Amino acid sequence: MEISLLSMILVAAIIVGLYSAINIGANDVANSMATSVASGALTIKKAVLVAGICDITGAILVGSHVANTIRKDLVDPLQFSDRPTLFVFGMLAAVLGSALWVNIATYFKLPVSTTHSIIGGVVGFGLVSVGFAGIKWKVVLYVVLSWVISPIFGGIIAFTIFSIIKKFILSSEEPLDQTRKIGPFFSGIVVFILSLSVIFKGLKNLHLDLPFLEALFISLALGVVGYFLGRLLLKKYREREEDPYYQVERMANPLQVLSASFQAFSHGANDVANAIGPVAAIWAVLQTQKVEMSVAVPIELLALGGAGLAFGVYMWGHRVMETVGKRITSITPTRGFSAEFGTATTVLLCSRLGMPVSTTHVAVGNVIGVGLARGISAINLDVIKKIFLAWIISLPAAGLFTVVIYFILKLLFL
Amino acid sequence: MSIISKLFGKSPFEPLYRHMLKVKECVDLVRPLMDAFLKGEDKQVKELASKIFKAEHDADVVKKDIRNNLPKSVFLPVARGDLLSFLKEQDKIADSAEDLAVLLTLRKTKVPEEFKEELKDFVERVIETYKAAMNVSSEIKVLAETSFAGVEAHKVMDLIEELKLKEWEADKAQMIVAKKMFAIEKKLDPVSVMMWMHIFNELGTLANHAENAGDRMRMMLHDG
Repeated sequence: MEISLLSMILVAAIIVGLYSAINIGANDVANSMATSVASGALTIKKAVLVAGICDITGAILVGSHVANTIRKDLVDPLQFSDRPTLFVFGMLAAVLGSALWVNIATYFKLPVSTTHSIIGGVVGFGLVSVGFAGIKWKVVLYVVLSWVISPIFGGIIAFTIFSIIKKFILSSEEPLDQTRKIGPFFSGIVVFILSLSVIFKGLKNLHLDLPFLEALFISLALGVVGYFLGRLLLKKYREREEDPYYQVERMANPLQVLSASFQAFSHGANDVANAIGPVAAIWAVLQTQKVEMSVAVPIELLALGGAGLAFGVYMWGHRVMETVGKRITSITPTRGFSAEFGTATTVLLCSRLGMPVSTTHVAVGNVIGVGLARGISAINLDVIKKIFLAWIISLPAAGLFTVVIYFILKLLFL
Repeated sequence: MSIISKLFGKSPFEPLYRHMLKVKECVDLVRPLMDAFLKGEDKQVKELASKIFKAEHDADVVKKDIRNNLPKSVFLPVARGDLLSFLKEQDKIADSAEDLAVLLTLRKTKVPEEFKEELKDFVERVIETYKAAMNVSSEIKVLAETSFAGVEAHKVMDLIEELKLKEWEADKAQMIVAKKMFAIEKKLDPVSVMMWMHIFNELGTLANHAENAGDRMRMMLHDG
């Protein structure tokens, strides 16, 4: 195959991948930041800035693991070792097809997940190129299962955290004193888990790969710093003439912002793969002229994807947040913290394990978890029906789009 | 719009609080209404009655708004049925005030000196009962914040006990004033006796609904 054609395809893939990243950033920004805006912990401007920064750092620092999974685990690239062009076209079709599907679905107000779409795309391409047997169905099943399990898992975390807050703070005689006592532990734990997930193998992209024990030690130290920082912040808080429970919420503001940033970070880590996973595959083929089993996703691509996410956040975040902020949502900082911490931990854990989960669905599971702990005034369970519908449609629809684009590309260039 | 923000329904607790304020606005007029009635100032009775009608209507509007925004698919920290029956009872307090206002404007009924003091005392007890109910209701926002449990729930539980005591006292006062009225029944014309029974009953019903509202609130509280 000619190099110029491949370069053209690569440029096209990067553009499509970037477009997809912008879409993802714009759509998902509300998931991590909306509750902070709604509860008044952050202004819209600050939320957009924080989300952008966290998204891009998450993408660069932790992003690579999942990118690998999507590419090589679903469809074995070695099947294409003698036909690299087909593989390249397929990946291009997958990223374009899923981006197209997400756009159309957004137009029809269907809450689809980009993660599900890209997997539908890759599977669709696999089906028409190497056939039913060429797809690792076990991996597909594993991925689908993780979509069900991850919201439940996250929900359990959120339920537990809110129950702890309820038991030790909201139900106590002296909620303010209890917050001063327990609040720092929460901030310590958040910092600990966040830094552990970043440091342990996360810094691979920066060639700073630390063994587990060392990573654990550093994270523990940072967690302790987080504890004292939390204590300092809570000490500075001055009591007002107001119901203590509202003051507890005020004191929980920084925690909510921290966990929201944590969630934006893990969103970047996990979802950057949706946009650039297939692009990375094309990039690898172009560089080596071979289809290999596994190649590292270049940090430039992760940065590009992260920039796309951040740009999407910047472009549309404002509008999304405004609509959220204006609604009377019944979420307060303690609830927001519980839900966001659970979401971020789950998503980060899953992206560590190489499971591409849908951030949106995990977040939904977490909100319901807090609701089950009687933390939220009203939850619309109708949304779950819609999610289920979108879920069932997404895989085949994105697959179909991919197949059509794949055949068009083949017709035009081969 | 992101799916997460769609997940959050409209909280019913803020509107419940607003409903309580409207009911309060309505029932706060009962004392001036009774005062005007006892003094025989018909014009003022009519004015106050029309104010009560207006406030009762406002409370109805809020009530309907809450009901319309609570489809079965909304998941709440309390049982939906408990919440709606609490709302119903709270609304009935205002309904009773309205019915009382209607009664007082229907017919000029002279207040005999023989049970004037007892009647005043009965009205006072009823007002106290209703105020105790409002003390319970006004905690609804804080209860939602603490997910209807813990120290706050215990505090509300105590307020409900107080409310029950007040209602019991109102019952006693009603009996006393009714007895006094029948003691002088020979002096009263039959229509007046009928009117007085209706008025006493309406005041008693107001206190009963106030107590019921407290009971319904208790059903929403959790242990732990």
